[in-house]
Parts: sequence; C-alpha cells; structure tokens
Amino acid sequence: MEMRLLAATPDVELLIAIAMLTTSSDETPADIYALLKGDERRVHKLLKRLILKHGSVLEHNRLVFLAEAEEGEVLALLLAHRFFEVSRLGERRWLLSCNLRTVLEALSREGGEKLPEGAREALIMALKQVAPRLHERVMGRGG
Amino acid sequence: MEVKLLAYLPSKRLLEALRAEGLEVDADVLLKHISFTFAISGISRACSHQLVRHRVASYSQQSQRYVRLTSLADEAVEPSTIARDPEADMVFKGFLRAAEYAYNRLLSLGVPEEDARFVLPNATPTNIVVTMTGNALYHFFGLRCCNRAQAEIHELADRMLVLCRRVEPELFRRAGPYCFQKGYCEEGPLSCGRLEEVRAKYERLGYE
Repeated sequence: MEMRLLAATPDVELLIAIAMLTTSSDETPADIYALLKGDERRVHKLLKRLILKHGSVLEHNRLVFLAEAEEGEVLALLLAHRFFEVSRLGERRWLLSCNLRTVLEALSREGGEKLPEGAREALIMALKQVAPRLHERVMGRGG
Repeated sequence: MEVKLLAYLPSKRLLEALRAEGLEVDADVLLKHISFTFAISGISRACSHQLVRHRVASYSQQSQRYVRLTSLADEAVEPSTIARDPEADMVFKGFLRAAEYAYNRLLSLGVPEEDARFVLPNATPTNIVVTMTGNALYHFFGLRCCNRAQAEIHELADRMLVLCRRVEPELFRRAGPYCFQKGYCEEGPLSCGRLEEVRAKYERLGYE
C-alpha cells in the first residue's frame, strides 16, 4: 500500500509535554501551555522523561493519511491496530487517521497481525515529521 | 471553570491537501478525521467522572496520587442548588472542612497521597486535557448540552461548543443537544419540553 501523511495537529510534542505535566503538577493545562510554548529546550527535556508505556499522553493529536490500497491491505491495517479510522474516498483511495499512540503501538507490536507493506515506512516518516524528538528516541532504540 | 482550546487540526488544512490530490470530502468525513484538544481546569471530580465516560476520546488528568491537594474548602466546586440555600450551603461547607481536615490528618500520620485521597469528595477540583474527534464531540454535545444533563457538565459542553464554533463555524453549525441535531427529543416522558427555546439557543450560541 502507498500511504503518506496529509495533515496533522500542530505542536504535537508541546501537547505531549502539556499532558505529562497536567497529570503530575497542580498547574492548570492552560498555564502549562503558557509556560512551555516557545521553550523547546524544556519540552525536549520533558519528552526524555516520557515513559512510553504510559501512552495516554501521546493521544492528544491527529495524523491524517491518504492511502492507495486494496481493501485487503486496509483490513490488514485495521487488524494490526483497531484504532485507525478509515473512510473510502474512491476505488483504491482511502483516508486514514489515528493518533501518535496508535502509530507507536502499530510500529512496536510484536507478533500478531503484521502491518501491510508500505504502512510501516509511512508511519515512521509521519512520526519523524510531527514528533522528531520522539522519533529520534524510538528509532534510536532500533525502532 | 476554565476551558481553552489548546490545539486542533483545521479542516481547511486537510481540505486543501485533499484538493491538491483532486479529492473532495463532505463534513461527516472531515469530522471523523480531525480532532480538538481542550485544556480544562477547575471542574469537579463529579464532572470529570461524567466526562471520561465518553470513551471515544483521550484524557490526561491531574493525578491525586502524585499531586497533593493544598486547599479543598476554598477551591471545591459547589453546585448552585446548594449554594443558593443557606442551610444546604452550611452543610456542604462543613463537610468540606471535615474532609480537608481528615485528608491533612491522614497525610500527617504518614498515609501516602494515593490513599489519603479516599476521603476527598466529588466536589474536589481537577484539571484535565481532553481530545476528541469532531464525531465524538457531536455525540458529547448531543448528550451533555441537553437540559437533562447536570449543570456543571452542561456548562462545560456549552463552552467547548463555543470554542469549536469559533474556529470551525460551519463544521459545528449542526452541533448541540440531540433535539437540536435531530429536530426531535428522544428523552420521552423525561423531555424538558422546551424544544423551541433550545433550538433558538443553539442556533446562536458562539455565533454572536
């Protein structure tokens, strides 16, 4: 399947940092936003502390993909991870979307249903595009 | 209560990317694929309990395990039905003071925050980051903008709808309680019976 990122929520890494601090501080999320906006160094420092198993903070975003694929390939993607949203746009053309948690879980899943050919590369590319520090961290471990 | 729209994926950006591919989609498809992230603070735990029952959504909530409550009596959320009755208000505030005392006493006895919190009431304030797709928001508004919804979550839903309409006025024009979305009330004998009044409110809300 051919799949590529069409659009995504802006400031994905900032949103992850805001979500992280909201859970563990008595500051309001709006105040945390004001504190972190524009402070990339601090955001990156927080991302280093992120425990990837606590995936809920990775969900505050949306990545939308355009895919050219057979029905079977889209089914394989949905079987690999149930949280992809799918709309059919025409013959072999699909609009797919998910959040970053789904991206990371789909990439890291061992065993079970395999991602269709082309999807893995597209998800890695999207991760690099919307959350470069997270991509560096995840791929630095060999994916 | 403070509600801010932290981020969203603008429909315009997605539509332009699709047009560049020679593709058009309708509003229902857009609503399925774009999301909105809200910063919500100063709501009660009672309200956040209702909020997180909307399962097709994402939440990051202030932890009572890791964040020590500094003041309950001054910051708790008091429903107007209690505040407007002097005797009810006295009972409510007396209980808050007792709960705050018990919480602090347990902490001073070495009980960790995660266990001392068991004495905290539903009125305890909390902060939460919430993300929903446009579709999920329509369902949330359908239920929680309804006159039968509890007042605090009703106010929260109205504020979120206003924020959505400010950035995506057309996409959320049909959003509101289900009677507004569908043209009829599904609540049966429990209906508030004020369909016209509700329709007038949600035709205007956020557009004035």
